[in-house]
Amino acid sequence: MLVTTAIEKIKSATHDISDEYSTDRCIDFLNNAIQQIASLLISAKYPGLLKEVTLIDGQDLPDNYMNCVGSYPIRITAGKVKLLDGYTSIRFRYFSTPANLTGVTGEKLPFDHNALDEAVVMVAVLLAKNENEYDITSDITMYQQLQSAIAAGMTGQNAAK
Amino acid sequence: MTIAAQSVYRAIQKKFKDNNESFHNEYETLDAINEAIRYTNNVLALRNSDFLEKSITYNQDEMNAEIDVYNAGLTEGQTKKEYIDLAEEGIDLPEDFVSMISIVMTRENYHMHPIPAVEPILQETDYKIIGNKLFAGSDCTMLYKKQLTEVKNLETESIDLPYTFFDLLVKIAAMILVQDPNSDVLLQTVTETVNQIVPRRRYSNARIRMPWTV
Repeated sequence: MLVTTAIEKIKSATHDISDEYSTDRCIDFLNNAIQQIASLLISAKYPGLLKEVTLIDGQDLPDNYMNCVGSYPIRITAGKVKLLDGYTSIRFRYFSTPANLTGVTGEKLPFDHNALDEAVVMVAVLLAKNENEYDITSDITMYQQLQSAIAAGMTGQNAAK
Repeated sequence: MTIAAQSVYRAIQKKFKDNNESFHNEYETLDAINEAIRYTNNVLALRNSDFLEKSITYNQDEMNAEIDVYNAGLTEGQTKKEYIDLAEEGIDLPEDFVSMISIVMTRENYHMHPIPAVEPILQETDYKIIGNKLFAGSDCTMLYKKQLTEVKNLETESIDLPYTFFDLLVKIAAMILVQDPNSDVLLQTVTETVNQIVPRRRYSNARIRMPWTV
């Protein structure tokens, strides 16, 4: 989904006829929503957000690093990696959240998945409404159901605990 | 007769339905496999099994001839290797040595006799072990219990056990990955599983010596 489409959806869902939410503000809402959904997916070990890099001693952690797969023979201090056990390089698999949207023309939401895009828009709408002190109690209940659905649907193939 | 480490790793991944390598990475799985090998080592070392038996032959003349070749290839400044004297200086035991089973003279297959460590080797048939060294009165072949070597590279190395131990290693390594490694349940499982395997193998076709046989 294009970011412009998502912004239109936010404005339409919040009945923003007076153009109260600026485009930048909507992008803030979307960024916040993307981080929320990404964190939800990462906690369920969604392979779509899994990345791999070869670490060497003294290297910085990758951008937007959240957590890694299992435990590696490394020690992380202040964002820098120290390799242990005599390794000179390590094939490092980790989860990271997507980079923030910048609002450039033609930009797309990061998940490339219709259901996730809709979830991002829904969270962004909740954030927008909340900022204007709307009562979003019932929306939050729906969002929680959506959260469960995402967690179950995206990780159904990964039964390992 | 060995188990490819890679196949153990893949079996563990399948057990966890983790083909994406999103739950357990290669390094911690390697550690778990090595821990499983160590557990198996500990349990097998105490059993009357032949899985860990290995023999080595010490021929003093051949070893010294190799040292001659090595020393001849050295350049100035490099240290020469000392000659081996089995009776006086002894020889280092193998790195994977755990315990001695038997030792025979290579020439006649005569079983050699241990002597007190404090006494010198006087007879051809004498041997003694002090610390990490074997002293012997003549060239000999030693049968000993070895330690299983741990795996360093999952892709290329293999584990020196018969294939019948495959599921045991997979099961123990998987338990190590998900359970409290200090739990006694683990050692209990290893012991039980090894016990199931070991009696199946030990010389079931061996000829039983009758009591009157000399």
